[in-house]
Amino acid sequence: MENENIESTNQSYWTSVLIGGLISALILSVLGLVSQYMTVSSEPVGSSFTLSQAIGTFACLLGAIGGFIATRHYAKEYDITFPIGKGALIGLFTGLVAMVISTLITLLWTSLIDPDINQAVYDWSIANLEAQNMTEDQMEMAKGFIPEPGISAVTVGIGLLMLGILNAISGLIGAKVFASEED
Amino acid sequence: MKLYVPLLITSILLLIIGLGPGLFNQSSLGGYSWQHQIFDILCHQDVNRSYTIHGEAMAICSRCLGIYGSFAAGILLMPLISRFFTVINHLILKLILVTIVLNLVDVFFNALGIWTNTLHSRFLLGALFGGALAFYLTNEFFKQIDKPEESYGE
Repeated sequence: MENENIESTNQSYWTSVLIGGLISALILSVLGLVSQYMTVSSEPVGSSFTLSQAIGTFACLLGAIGGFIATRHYAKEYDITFPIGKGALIGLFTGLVAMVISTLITLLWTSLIDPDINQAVYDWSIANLEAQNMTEDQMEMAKGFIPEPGISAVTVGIGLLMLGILNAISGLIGAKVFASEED
Repeated sequence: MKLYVPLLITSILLLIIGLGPGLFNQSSLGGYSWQHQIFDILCHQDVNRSYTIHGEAMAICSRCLGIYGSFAAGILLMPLISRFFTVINHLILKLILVTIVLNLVDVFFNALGIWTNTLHSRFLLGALFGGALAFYLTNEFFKQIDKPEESYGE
């Protein structure tokens, strides 16, 4: 294997980023949509935690391993080693790509297949809030933090930020596991 | 090494935001504060499974608090860890896998009713995972010199 243990120089990592991002996005979208349907089919009893939220959380934790998948693919595909900084960069891009693809899938689903689901989730959130016995002021303030139905720029922005950061960290660790020169 | 400071700042920032609105003497608004919104896609934020500050639930559950807290503490203490401990990567990697399995077993056994975990037990298991991750990265930022015993004095 003439390429064994060579340092990465100019091999493109975009294929790995797309693979990692696509896998994360599919997991995020599928389990996220399942979570939404479970939410609207449950009673808004004022609890801030439901089984469906647990599934949604599970999806996002899995979404954060995109950086790990991408760095593994990049290291194995070219049989190379690379520094953890490059792993973090690959992870960051993977998180951003995952969020963009996931948003597109959700957008397609809510535009073509079930246009009512976003409004149903919003109504459920308001009903759930009202069941919490808060004061009027607190209610108004809390409502301000519930995303409007549809794709919200704030939600997408937070998703890009958090998935970017988490996948950067998982990419950094992935580089250490799969592409380190030490072992 | 140049990644150390950004990683340290990021991990501490994540922890501070995760500590939630109580840290800033604000109301958690039933789980809809800006801190809760930021961690919305990362944590289930169950009030009953979260610690509180000033009576307000944190924006992350006790297990996540363990993960973020011990990861940030581990990154912060890296210079000391590298000075006083020898980090053997393949052993730490096995420890990380063990902590992942322990957390998964705890989640599923609790869900199945085989045992009931507590705030503290979830925090502890999360802390083991986050701490092991930080420990694993030590050699990347603070190189340790492994001199074989027979070369002492050379």
